[in-house]
Amino acid sequence: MKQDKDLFEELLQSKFKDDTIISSRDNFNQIFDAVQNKSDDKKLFYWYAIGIILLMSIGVFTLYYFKNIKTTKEKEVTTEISTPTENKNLVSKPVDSVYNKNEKEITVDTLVQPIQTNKENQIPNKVDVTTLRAEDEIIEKGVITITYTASSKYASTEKTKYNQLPDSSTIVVRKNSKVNFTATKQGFRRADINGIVFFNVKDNENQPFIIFGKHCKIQVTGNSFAIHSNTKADIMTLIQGTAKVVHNKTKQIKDLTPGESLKANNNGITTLKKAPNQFAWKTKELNYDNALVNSVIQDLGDNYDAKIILKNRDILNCRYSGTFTDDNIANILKELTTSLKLKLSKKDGIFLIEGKGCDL
Amino acid sequence: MNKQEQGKLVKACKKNDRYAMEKIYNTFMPRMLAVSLRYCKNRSDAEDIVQEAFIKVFKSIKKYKDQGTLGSWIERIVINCAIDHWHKMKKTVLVDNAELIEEREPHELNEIEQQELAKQLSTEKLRNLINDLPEQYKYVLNLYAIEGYSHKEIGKILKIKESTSRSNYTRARKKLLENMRAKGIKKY
Repeated sequence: MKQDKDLFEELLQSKFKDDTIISSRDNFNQIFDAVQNKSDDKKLFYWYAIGIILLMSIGVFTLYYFKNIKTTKEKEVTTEISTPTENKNLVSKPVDSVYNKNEKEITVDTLVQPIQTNKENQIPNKVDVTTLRAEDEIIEKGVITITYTASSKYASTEKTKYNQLPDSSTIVVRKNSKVNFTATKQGFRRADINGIVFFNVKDNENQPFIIFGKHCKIQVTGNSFAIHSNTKADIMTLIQGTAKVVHNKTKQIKDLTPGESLKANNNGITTLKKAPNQFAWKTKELNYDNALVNSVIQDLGDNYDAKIILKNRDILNCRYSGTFTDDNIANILKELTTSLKLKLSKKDGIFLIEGKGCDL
Repeated sequence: MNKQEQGKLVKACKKNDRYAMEKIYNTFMPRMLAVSLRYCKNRSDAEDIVQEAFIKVFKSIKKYKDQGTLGSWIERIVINCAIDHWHKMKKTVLVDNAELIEEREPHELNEIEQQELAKQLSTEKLRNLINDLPEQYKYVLNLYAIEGYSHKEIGKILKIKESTSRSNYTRARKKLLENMRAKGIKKY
């Protein structure tokens, strides 16, 4: 607004200052109606907005629905029944870090379709590993398979990462190992394993938990269970609870009791006298019977991430018999070196062993 | 209507109270019609402008923040409506050039002449004289001399150059002053 004033402006302003004119018509009713319409318009606007959002939601849902149907049909035509490891429609994405991002390599492989565990699709008879039919072992299309893998760098000794499965069971995947978890349509929980895995299974009578090894299948209930599965053999130790083992070829059935260990290979199932050393990180027990120091050092590295340097390579050729029931690496090495008359020292977290070696 | 009463009415209007709206309308309508008639020669158009302005007033009453008087707030809305109306109706824009303005300027008002003219010219007569001015001159004169806007502001409002507003005003003022003197009983 300007500040300066002159007489001309003053004259006009004074003349029109209180100027009023009585209107010949009363428009208030029209004005009031127009204002009310505005309020109604506002209400209508909200209703329109809600309507549009609803329509869009329905549209998105319909698109999603038809897309899924299309995908299923395509798969029926073009692909054979998929297994979690073979499926080409897998979408991989990383899941949470173990304890060091650089050392982790865990992936979740997800089928395109959502998980369905509805009761209609479950077989009416209760699933049991001993009566599991070949068709029950087929992973049907449309179920999610979650894959947990751990790289060679990932060793979970001190900072063990417990991964929770969708059914609330927990697993520990050791380095170079892999687990495919599937909630099958047949009504049981399935874990296909490769390598060393520890399970803490959430008990659910309606959905038995069956571990698929290379040579056997194991039905476990509410327990702690460690297994090492590879092409040579499946080695397992039951820590708590119960487990039923069925050999794939011989159909031999074996019930496991806590603390018991088994080995299943091409020939059948055999009971192990002592817990396998692969599970020492869990059982805290290492057993050796005239074993090479080489394998002792290997086990200590695998189970406890121990960093050990041998000054003399021939030490690896020495043999050791005995049991370690302590998970303290320093104590274990002390016991080992004392027995073999070697010298043990530690610098910057690395154990150094010196002394006279052995001939092969 | 005192400020307290105005405050109560505004509060009631915000709650969509018909009585309060009617009270405000009846109170301010005569004043707003007079304002509108300074911008619009046609009475029917002026009343339409006021009606449109009051609809805007009640629709946006929630935005009114008790700053300044309610009357001046409504008046600004009426003027804005009048300008909108003019924008819709206008066909030509007068682009005056300062250089083209005639050299011969009427002599300025002195206080005696101002008082005499104030006596001799009724508000209605003066309004008619303003309304006889070309549309754009009328708007510039009203906004500058009566509402107190600067030429920069007028330029923005009327979407013309500031210099155009300035020259329009000079011409409008000159013309109006001549007509005022012509209509006055005594001539100076």
